Amino acid sequence: MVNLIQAVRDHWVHILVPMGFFIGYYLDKKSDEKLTAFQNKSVLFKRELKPNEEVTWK
Amino acid sequence: MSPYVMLIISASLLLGTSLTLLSNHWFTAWMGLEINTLAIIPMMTYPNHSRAAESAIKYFLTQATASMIMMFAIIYNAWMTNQWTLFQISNQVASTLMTLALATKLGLAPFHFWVPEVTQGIPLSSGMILLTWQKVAPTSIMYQISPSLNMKILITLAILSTLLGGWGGLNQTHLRKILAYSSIAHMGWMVIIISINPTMALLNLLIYISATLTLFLSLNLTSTTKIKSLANLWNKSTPMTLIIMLTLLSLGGLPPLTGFMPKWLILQELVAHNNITMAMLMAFSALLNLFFYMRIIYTSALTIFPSTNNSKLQWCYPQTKKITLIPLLTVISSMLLPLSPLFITLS
Amino acid sequence: MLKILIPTFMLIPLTWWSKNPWLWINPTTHSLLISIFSIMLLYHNSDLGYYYNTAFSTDSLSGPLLVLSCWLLPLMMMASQSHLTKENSNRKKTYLTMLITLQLSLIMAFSSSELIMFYILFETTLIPTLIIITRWGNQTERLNAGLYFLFYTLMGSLPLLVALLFMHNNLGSLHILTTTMMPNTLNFSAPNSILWYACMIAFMVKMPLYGLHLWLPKAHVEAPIAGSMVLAAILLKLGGYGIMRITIFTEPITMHLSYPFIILSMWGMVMTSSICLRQTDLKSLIAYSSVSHMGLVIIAALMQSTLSFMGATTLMIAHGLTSSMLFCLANTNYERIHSRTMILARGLQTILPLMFAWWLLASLANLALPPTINLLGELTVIISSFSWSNFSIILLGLNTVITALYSLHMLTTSQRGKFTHHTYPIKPSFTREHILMALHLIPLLIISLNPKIILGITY
Repeated sequence: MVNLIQAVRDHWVHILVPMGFFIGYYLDKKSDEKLTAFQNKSVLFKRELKPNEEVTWK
Repeated sequence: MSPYVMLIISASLLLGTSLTLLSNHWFTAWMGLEINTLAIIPMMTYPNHSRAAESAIKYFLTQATASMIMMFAIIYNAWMTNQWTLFQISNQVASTLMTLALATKLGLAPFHFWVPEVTQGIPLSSGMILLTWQKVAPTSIMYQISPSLNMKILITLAILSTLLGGWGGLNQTHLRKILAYSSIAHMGWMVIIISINPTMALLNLLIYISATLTLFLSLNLTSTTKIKSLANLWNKSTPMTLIIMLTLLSLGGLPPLTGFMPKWLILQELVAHNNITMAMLMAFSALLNLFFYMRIIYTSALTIFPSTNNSKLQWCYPQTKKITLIPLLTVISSMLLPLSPLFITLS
Repeated sequence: MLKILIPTFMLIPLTWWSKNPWLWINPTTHSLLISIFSIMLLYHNSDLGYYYNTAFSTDSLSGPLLVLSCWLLPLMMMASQSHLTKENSNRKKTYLTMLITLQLSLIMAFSSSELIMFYILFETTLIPTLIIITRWGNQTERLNAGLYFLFYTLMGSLPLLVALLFMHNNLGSLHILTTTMMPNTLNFSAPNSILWYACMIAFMVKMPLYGLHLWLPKAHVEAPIAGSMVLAAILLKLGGYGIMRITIFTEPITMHLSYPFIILSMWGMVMTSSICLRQTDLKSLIAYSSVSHMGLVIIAALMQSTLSFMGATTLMIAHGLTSSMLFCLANTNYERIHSRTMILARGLQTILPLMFAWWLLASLANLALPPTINLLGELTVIISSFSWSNFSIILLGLNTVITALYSLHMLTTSQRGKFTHHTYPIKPSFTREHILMALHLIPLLIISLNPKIILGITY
């Protein structure tokens, strides 16, 4: 147990970059959804709507 | 200086500028400028030595001349138009005279000779006030009469200021003189835009003031007045070298620091008014400034000068001076560029 | 783009909070992770590129360059470990922070989809590079080199700024996506020619064009290894990238005005490679060879044909890896001999035979032997310029021969011959150095299996 805490205290910095990646991934996904909201108006480019998801453009 | 005297002096310094800022009448605006001039003179001469007295007299003479010319312009304007309201000066002669008087107050070339001389002779703290706070009142008058200013005179003043401000500083080793020349150059940038887009001029002034304040405060912290003694800065306070470097590069207008924002927006306005030659000239003259800033940066931050072992221990003595404002000002003067969309929509 | 940018930014706190024994390992491994992840930027399913948001986009031109810059960061960290051993940990951390800041601004520069933003980030790269060169260079000439670097670039790029502002006024937007769909508005006239020169000169200085190149050998020679690597591998590519981006805006004029530049850079290639033949300074030789190779990229980018754009993109990637590898090799010599003079490092083959293998491979890659992508790039450029004008083959062919000559000159002078007495006590080569060379060379070889990923927008 003590070893585990010690290991966490020594190596917690390794979480920073993956954390940054996930934050960035999330933000990118959000802005993607925002930018592609109107794509669902087009038949060619529209994506499958999730169950009980309404129109994406509002 | 006793605290009571200090209080009175700084209060009148504040009073002078605020009087000018608030006034609606030419006479009170003029009075504000006069109070301002008189209030800073005791501050200049405070640790009393001959250089400071000389500076104070030089300052007094130039400012008094400028005030007289300004008074003359006001009276002439009142005689011609029959009004004392601080508003556009429709009379050509009065407007020209007023421009020249304000140029002297701001230290624009060719009326700039007093700026380096005066700044060199006075202590750092009053130099700081001279190069920042003292610019506010004349700028406010210029802002209010900006639509009636003569564009040709302004362009001449601006080009001369940026060029001479860059040129003069190249040969200096004293930090106060360098900052004085940089002030001349920045006033040039302000004046070029003031009749096209006055808000941009204010933005330029604000950013210039914050960067200059940062520089003066950090120089004051280590009591440095020469480039040579800046070489020892890394012993006294290492983070200060970084701060000085960033602020100087920002003053030089290197992206991505704040200093690029006013330069960029001013160039944009100039280009939008089809004044491309002007824009190019201004942009290139900023490089002159950058060159002597680079010299300071090289000595203070980018090289490590050899020093004696005694001076290597300076960091462990407790700091007596406070750095309260420096971090905030550094952030303002180096990291605001991402906010520039805000300022584009501001005007 | 944020999924690359935010982790790269996170490398800074990682560096500062890492404990001393982990100081090099942590940022290196994490930046390697980021670079491996960045390979996904090579995938494009649309010709128009991928728009992450209104500010960032990647397409098949900027994708490979982004991957290259992500790839170079761990390599730079590996290469600088040795010469920083004497510094204290705060300075090491500052150095790493500078590299990471440079990386951030490079990523944003390559992926920005608005030209003013590209300009700002193009200039942003100056500050960290300047600090790296002038703070961690070795000789006093580095101060001069830093000034040259800064002021050459700024003098070149201020006209670009004014030109961009002017075009912004006329076109209403400088977004890459909107302007590719706009009809060309510039006709061939004197003011528009000046506009074209103003747009080009910044990138010509950055590339650099022969005649505007004086800052480059200085900066390369004086910079520490990471500075030389990033300068040769990525910063020069900003110029080529910029030309290919901005010629969209200046479309019909380029046709008329590019001749002198193409001829000058052809002539400059021959000149600079001849200069290489009589160099005694190893780093300076590599720097001049960079100028010569970049001449090819200028020719290709100005010729504006489909094939030449493909050649330019490929050559930029290939040269990025090759020259960076050569600088690393030069640095391994420098760390052992403490001199850049080639003649003082002669005969190293007998002492460090494995290093000789890397030298040989790097030289072969530099003179564009198959199966490296250098061959692909140079061949494409030469073919396209041959179809542009048959006479160009004289200069280009001559240049190819001289390239082979100076590569051989570099290899034989520094590796063959009898070794001198002062080379007896040198350190053996480290695994770190071998890994460094391998990581440079492997991409050069394996990309040639599927070169279409770096062929750029016109493929």
